[in-house]
Amino acid sequence: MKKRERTIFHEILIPLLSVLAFEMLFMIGAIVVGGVIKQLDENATDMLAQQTENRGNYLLNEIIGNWSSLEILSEEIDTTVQERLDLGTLKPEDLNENSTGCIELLKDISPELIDTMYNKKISGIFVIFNTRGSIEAGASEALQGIYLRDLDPTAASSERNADLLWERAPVEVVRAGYIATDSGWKPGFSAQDAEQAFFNKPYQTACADDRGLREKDYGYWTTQPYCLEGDNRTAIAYSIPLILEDGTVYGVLGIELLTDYVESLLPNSELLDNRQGSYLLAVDFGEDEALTPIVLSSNVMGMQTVEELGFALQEDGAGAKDADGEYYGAAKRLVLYSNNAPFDADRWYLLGIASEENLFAFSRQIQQLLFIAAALTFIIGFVGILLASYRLSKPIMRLSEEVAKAQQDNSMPVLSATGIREIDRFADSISRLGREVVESSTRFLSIMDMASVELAGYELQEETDSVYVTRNYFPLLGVSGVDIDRMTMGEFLELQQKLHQSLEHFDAEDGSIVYSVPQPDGSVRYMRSEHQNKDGRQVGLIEDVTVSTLEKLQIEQERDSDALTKLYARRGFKREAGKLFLKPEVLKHAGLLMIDLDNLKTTNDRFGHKFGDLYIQTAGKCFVENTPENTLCARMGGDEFILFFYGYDSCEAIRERVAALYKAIRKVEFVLPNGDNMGLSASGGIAWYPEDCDELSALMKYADFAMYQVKQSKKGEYKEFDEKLYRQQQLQNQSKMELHKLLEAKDVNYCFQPIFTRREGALYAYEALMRSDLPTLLMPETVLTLAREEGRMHDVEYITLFRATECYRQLLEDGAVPQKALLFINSIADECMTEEEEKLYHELYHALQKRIVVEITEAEHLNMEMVQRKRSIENFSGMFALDNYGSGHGTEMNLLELKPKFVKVDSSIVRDVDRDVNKQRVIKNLVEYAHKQEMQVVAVGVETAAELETVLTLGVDLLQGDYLAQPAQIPLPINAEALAVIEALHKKSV
Amino acid sequence: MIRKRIMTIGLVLAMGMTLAGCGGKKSPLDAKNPVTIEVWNYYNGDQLTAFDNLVKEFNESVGKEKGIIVKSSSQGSVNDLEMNVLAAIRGEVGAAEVPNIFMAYADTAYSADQMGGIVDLKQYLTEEEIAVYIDSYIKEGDFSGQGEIKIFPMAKSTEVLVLNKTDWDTFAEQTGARYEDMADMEGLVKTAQSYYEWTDAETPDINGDGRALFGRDAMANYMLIGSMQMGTEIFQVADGKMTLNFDKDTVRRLWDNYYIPFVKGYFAASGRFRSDDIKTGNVIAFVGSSSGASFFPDVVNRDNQEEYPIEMDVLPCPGFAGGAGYVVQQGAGMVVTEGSEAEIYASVEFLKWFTADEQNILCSVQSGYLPVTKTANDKTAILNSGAEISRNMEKTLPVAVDMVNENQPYTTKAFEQGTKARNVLEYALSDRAAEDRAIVQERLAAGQSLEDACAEFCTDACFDAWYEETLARLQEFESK
Repeated sequence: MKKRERTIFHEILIPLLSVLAFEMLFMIGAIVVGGVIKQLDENATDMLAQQTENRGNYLLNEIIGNWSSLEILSEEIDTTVQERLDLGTLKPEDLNENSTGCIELLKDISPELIDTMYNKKISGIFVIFNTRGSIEAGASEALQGIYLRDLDPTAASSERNADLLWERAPVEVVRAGYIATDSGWKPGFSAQDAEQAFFNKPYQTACADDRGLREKDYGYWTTQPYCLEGDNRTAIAYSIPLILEDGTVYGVLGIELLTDYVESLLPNSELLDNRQGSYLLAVDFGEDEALTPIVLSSNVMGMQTVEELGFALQEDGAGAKDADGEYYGAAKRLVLYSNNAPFDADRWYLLGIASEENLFAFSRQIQQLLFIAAALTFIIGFVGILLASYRLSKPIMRLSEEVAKAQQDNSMPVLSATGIREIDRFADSISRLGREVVESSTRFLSIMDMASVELAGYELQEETDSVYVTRNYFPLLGVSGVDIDRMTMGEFLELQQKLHQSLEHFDAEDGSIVYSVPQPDGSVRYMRSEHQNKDGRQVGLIEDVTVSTLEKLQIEQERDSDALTKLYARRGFKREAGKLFLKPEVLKHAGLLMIDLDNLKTTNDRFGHKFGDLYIQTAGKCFVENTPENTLCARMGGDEFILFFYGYDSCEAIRERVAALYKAIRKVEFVLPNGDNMGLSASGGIAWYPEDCDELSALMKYADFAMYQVKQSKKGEYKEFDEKLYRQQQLQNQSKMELHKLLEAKDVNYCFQPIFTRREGALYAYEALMRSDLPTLLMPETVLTLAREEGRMHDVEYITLFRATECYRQLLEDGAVPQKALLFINSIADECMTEEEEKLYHELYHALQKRIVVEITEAEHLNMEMVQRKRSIENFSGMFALDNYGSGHGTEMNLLELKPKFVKVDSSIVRDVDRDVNKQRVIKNLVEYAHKQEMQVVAVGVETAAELETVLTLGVDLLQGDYLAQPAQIPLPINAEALAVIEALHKKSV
Repeated sequence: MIRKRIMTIGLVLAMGMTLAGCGGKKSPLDAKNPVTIEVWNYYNGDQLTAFDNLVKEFNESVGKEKGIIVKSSSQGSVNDLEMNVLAAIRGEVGAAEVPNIFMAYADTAYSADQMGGIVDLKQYLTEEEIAVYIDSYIKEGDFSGQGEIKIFPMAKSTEVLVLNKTDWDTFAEQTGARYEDMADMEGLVKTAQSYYEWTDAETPDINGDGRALFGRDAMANYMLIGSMQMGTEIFQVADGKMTLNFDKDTVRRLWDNYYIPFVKGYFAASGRFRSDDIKTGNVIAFVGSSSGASFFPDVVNRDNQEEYPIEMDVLPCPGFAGGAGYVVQQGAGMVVTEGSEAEIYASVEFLKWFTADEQNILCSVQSGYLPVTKTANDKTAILNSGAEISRNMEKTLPVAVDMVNENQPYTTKAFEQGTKARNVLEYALSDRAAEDRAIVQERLAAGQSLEDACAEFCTDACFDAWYEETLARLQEFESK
């Protein structure tokens, strides 16, 4: 698939943008996945929670440890009241009225209250009396008591209590002290005051409760800021009932905290850096998660009234959110009451509040910064990449346009400078290169024009599918009228392929192809074509090689043909025949006639070479004239010709032709220089295709074989190839070859057949028997026959002596044969070792020589000279054995002449000796004669127990045969059965 | 073309803005990042309400716009405020942080200035801005005499005579007493005696149960202004050094016009302020700060059972017959402490806004303090301001404004330990009077006649003893 083409602008822009996009993704991913923002948010929340916790703890410490611990004061008041009641200076009902007792009591306890107020740094303190029991709603009785306020609770106590104000106090009490009345001052607590939770809640609860808890346990923190009648300051209060020993609830004692003061104790500025935090004291009545706000300390939430704040606790109780979700509050639970105390259900919380915007301002800022940075990076990157891509690509695009324009105009492009050094150099080089190419091609064309041979060429570019062909290309190939201007590559190649098929051509030695282009005048021009493929570019060139090709063809012609006869020479024949053998359909039935001119040698010798040449010429002329067209006639060299008849439907048709040829040959007559007439005589052999063989060289061999058969018998005739004869000859040749091989390699092994004594069947000697592994030479007789034919008898003698002795020596060395046994070695009667061989033999085997018996096969005439030589071999034991005694040759003479120590009765006599009286007689006579001549008789070829018995009975001395022990490379012991026979006979005789 | 024009406009605008920035002092404030400034006052009651309301208004308007959040807190009393401020400035253990602005009398401001850390506001105000304030108010903060402004005039007051008109009318009806009788101190004493006797006569069977007509707050003012009227400045201050002029004759006249009527029961003082005495029916007239007008009650609780409504009236504070026309100039100013540029800037912004006529008058009519600018300290201006004005204020302010405008306002110059010295004057006479009155009351209860009961105290010896003792105490504060 072709890669889609893109402009350089895109090529630069897209990868850069991809990198940028990846970077952006990575950056944003790192921010998001990294959880930095979340961590920052959590940190902010944690910090808020921690600050709230600290502040809450401080507040709790104040509430529990300071503000709400009123036990000492209340006990003092209780004691004072109890004392006065006991003394009678105060009656319980006095406490309900502006009585002297009550006023005195209030005057007396005022200093304590003031002290407590100062000590506790609270903004107010009050005591309210009522002994009328629980107050019904809507009751209108005023209550006695005092309510003091300190507007600057954190300040040290003023001289003369100048900073205190009376909110409630009887006139007498006001006058008695040096404390100013507040503008809302009242001499007593009105019924409306009595409705206030700071009085009502603990008082009524204590009255109604019969558990008799301690005063402290009824302690109550107001959950709603209140204003005293006539006053506009809001406050919260903590109050406990005052209870006498007898359980009478006679009033409440309480402390007050102005909400402003509480606010000041909740410095919201500590929450966030920019003072944007808020504290909210709130209470949860346990009904739902909604928090009822009490006191708010805030710079930012001031626009809302406290009551409007709708915070609700989150499930974990550690935080709260307002209804709009704009604010988050870290919650710190303030445990103000003991378990199971009456107001235990009010759960107080301190919330450290921050708007999510402020709380997470830092992380938002970071986030914003990061995203702005990311966005800026992206924008700058994007614009930068755009500009860079544009700047980089613009000059290149301009170049491209200039080139395109130049192509359109078919002119050399004028390339403008881009300002980029590399590209300018590149463009410059390209321009220069372009010019050079134009110049060089022009140069080249003129050179081509000037060339003495005609040249044409082409160039194909796969990439651009462009074809450039010189105008003379196709005309040179004999095609005219081809429109090369509009030719596509496909068309070109197609046309070229067509030409390749239609034009005769051959491969030149250098790998190019030479086309023979027929010319209108009937002559042929040769065009050498060569092409190269490189990098998708094919360049081809054709040149007119007519002159050189013709020269070459002539040379070849001369080499392939015989100068004398104008027939094919050996080489030409092989080539032509080779071609034919590739086409069996042309060959059909063929016959190869191999002809050898007879008497050429004598003719040459007698009449000189010139006449010999004439003889050959005449023969050649005769062969050509008398053979049909489809005959290859060749002179293979000397007086040898081949006539190859082909394209016949049967061999018979060829035979007719050959017969006709021979008829013609016999008619040819010469006049010899001496005036005599002489006929042409040619011996021939024919081999048939495909009957005999389908291969040329074999066919030639067969024809040759047939011809030699003729040559050896009756010259001037011809003969067809006889496969049987050929095979026979072949086999013979093989045997000879094997013999040679055997003799050369001296690779003959010997078997040893033991020879036993007649008495105990004891081992007496061994006969070394030749064993060959070669297929045609299994029988020693064959070897001998062949050796004799081939004149290699001496080699056989030599091998027998040396190899047999060597094998035996080996056996001795291995301990496979006893030391004392004799060794019978067959020796060829008319052969003898040379002196050197004797010396060598002596050197190698002198230790064995005394035990060697030379066994000579019986022959019509023993060559006594040779026998003497054998006998005179140095250190020879002098023992001969005469083999094959009684086989039919004039044996007695041998016996006399040789004077052997041992006579070996031929196996043909031993065969069936038990049943043949004549044979028995022969043996008997021999034994008789031998024993007189101190010869020992050996029965050879004993094959049965009967034969053994018989020969023993006949007095044979030694026994040899398969029945006793077969020959083997490692000699075998005597057959137990045979031994038994021997022993039995021996016993009988004894 | 168009682009070029826009650019030109932009350039001009940018230049204009730059020039504008150069022209004025660049505000260090940022509305988005507001500056919180802490203001300490010693106000209570209506004054505090008035002050807080204005602060709230400021925070919601100008403050919000400019990025200023004012947090005000009352420190209870003047003395508490002074103590807390000085403790804060000294950096005492447990002290609060120094507020950006605190309300202070000259003495406190002076002490604070001695410790350093007080801003001279002159550099933050233009000449025109300074000129709108009443000169003597501005001068109060010129400790060095070099024209510095260490105290920003805020809310001033002077003393007026406040009257329970309801009860007075009964008395006047029956005795023919007139307001004019109380025009000077001697007249006042006489009227008081007449009232005592008139009330004593209500119950002929009970001896000496007459009621006092008059009480007085701020005894130091009585001493200092009275002395000035008689030609002697008790604390004469130059270059921060005080020279004591405790003239015996002058003091004797002061003694005779307070101690003697007090011991006799013509004058009275119980509880903290004389307004309380009005509320409890102890007295029917008192001299107090015009700013105390707001504390003037609507009802009297003579005892718990009797509560009745009263109407009040205001008269000029009586001086000594034949004396110079000095009236007290009191009320604190605002002192700005050093802080960040933004904080000081914000503080001045707040104070300027607060003392602008509209706010100033509004504050006045709510608190009883007098406006501090020349234009606002005017009866007509106040009454025509459109501000809601209570009856008490309607009565008080014209009188007080006239007093300031028609007389010479006087305040002691600041000096070291001036407050303590002043406190000696505050309590020396009144404490002795109260003690001795207690003895007289015991004697009366024991059946002695008023004459007999008082005889011991109406002697030269009694005065001399007290004089010497007081003189000695005061001399301790005299600069060495």
